[in-house]
Amino acid sequence: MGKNLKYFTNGILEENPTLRLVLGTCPTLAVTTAAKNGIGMGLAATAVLVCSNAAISLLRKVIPDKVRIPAFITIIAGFVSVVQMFVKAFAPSIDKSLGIFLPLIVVNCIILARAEMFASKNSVLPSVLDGLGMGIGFTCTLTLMGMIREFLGNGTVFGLTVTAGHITPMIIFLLPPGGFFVFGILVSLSNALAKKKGKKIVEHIGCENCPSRSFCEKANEGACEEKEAVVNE
Amino acid sequence: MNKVTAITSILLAGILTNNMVLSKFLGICPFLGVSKKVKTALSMSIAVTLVMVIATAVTWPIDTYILKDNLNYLQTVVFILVIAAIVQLIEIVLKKYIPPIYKALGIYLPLITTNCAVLGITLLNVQNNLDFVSSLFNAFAAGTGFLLAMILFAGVRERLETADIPEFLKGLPITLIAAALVSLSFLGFAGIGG
Amino acid sequence: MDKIKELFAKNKEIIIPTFVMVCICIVVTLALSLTNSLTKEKIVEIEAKTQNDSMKEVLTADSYDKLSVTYENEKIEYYEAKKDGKTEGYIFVIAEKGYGGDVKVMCAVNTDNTVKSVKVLDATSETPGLGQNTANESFYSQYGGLKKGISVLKSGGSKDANTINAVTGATISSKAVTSAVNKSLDYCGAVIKASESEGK
Repeated sequence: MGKNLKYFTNGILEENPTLRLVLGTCPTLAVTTAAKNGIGMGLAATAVLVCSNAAISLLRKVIPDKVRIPAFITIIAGFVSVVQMFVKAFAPSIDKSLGIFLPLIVVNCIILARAEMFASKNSVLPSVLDGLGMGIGFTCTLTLMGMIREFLGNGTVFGLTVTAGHITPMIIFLLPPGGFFVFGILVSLSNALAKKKGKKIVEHIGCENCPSRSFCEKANEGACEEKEAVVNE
Repeated sequence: MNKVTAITSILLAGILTNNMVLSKFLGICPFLGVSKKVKTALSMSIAVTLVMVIATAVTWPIDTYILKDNLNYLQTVVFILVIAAIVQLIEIVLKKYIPPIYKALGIYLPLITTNCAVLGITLLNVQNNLDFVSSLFNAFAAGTGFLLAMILFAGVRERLETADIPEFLKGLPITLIAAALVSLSFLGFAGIGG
Repeated sequence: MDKIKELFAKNKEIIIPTFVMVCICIVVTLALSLTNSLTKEKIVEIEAKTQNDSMKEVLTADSYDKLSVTYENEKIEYYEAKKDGKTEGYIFVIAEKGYGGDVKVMCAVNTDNTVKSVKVLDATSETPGLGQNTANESFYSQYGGLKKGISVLKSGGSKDANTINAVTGATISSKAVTSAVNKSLDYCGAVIKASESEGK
């Protein structure tokens, strides 16, 4: 039981997908202009993550190694489309504000990375728990970022007025530069926390931190960066 | 508006005002991951542009003539599978017939299937009801915009390596803050916002 | 038979992955068409309901009839709003290119071709905090009572007759909405003309 709990909490703090593994940066930056959007995106991705982890874990012995990645992508795309239709039918306003980033969950690196690194090697229960933990970690970070950006950029949190009307909001926080900036500060805070606990900080250099390392066949050969380094020497 | 003006405005919007990476947040992963050296950034973006244009040329007819009316719900699945297949095909063809190009671009190809900029641009093209020629130009413009952003940012990062960075910003945070400044400069093309 | 077996054994590497992929694709497609048949009606229903609610908001009437008119060789769809059998006005839904994509505007026009009221239905492709503010009532309520040829004043300009103030920092989005309203008035001119000649 303790081990199962570990699978679940792993994704929330220690291996938080956005802040520690730096996966799924596109939706993290794009949809967090409001806290509500952050939650919507997070929950949609969590649903896909849990379902795809479960399905892939069930099928892990059936899928031949050769077509692993295309098979995973098809399964994930299937779940994404299902979620997309349900969101359209039951939460149309969320569908509108997430726009193109809803179908783009397919290529959210978190989902494929967890399928490849975890679900394809573990049985169903741990895979579901891992997906749930990762999803919740993703949702929490997105909501937090949405709250910060909405508060600074619009003077509201979850649509409720906080400082709007008294202080002119800094619109720049809703614009792309604000997204990069807030994310940078959050990562530096999480790095500081990690350092205090004696964990590694996120450097994001080379294959080790490449979002696609899990399914890049050349990752172990050093692929993109290593080759350059050799040339430069 | 005649055809030439329309296409010019598509190109300008794609490269500058609506830049794929810096204002639409598509393709952030390679933008942060593969932008350490100008040369790698260049090869990666050329590969991305190539795949974007070819993927649009294939997905646009599929969507318009097969999926549009009744099978719209298969759009996401079909598009991603088509992109994955195209990437594989390009890899095989390059490997066999043009080895020098394969040597330069090959290592980036497996990363492109899951690059959200590629799926993103094919979806945006059909969602915005662009015609076939405009879609191709839009894909090309998006790829070029990606290339511009990557190269500019790789230049910034090469300089960062020798800079004296505050302890708490070392690693990824300073990269993100540098990205914020680069995207701020792109905001200038629009005269703040729209 | 043995030959087939031999062939299978030889090409096992190709046949099994292909077979698995095909199976997965079939299952996914079936699952999707099932979900589609479950949610399709609901989605159409919601779209119709939102449209209807918005129409009631811009122009109260008993019935809305979907009709079409030809304007400069283009077929334009519109709704005729009727109350107690009398035409109250016309409603147009127009998507106009804004800053990041299309801005969807609903415009109700009186029978004398002046704006009754306007509602911005969808501005989600615009910049949050700037262009998206065109979807606020404080912006689109400015259009009420204006007539053909509305122009946009940049923020801070003095308010003349037949102008609206742009949302601060969002001139392009404001212009997109205004252009949609002006188009509605042009189309409505054609509608009124057609109904008059029919009346004669």
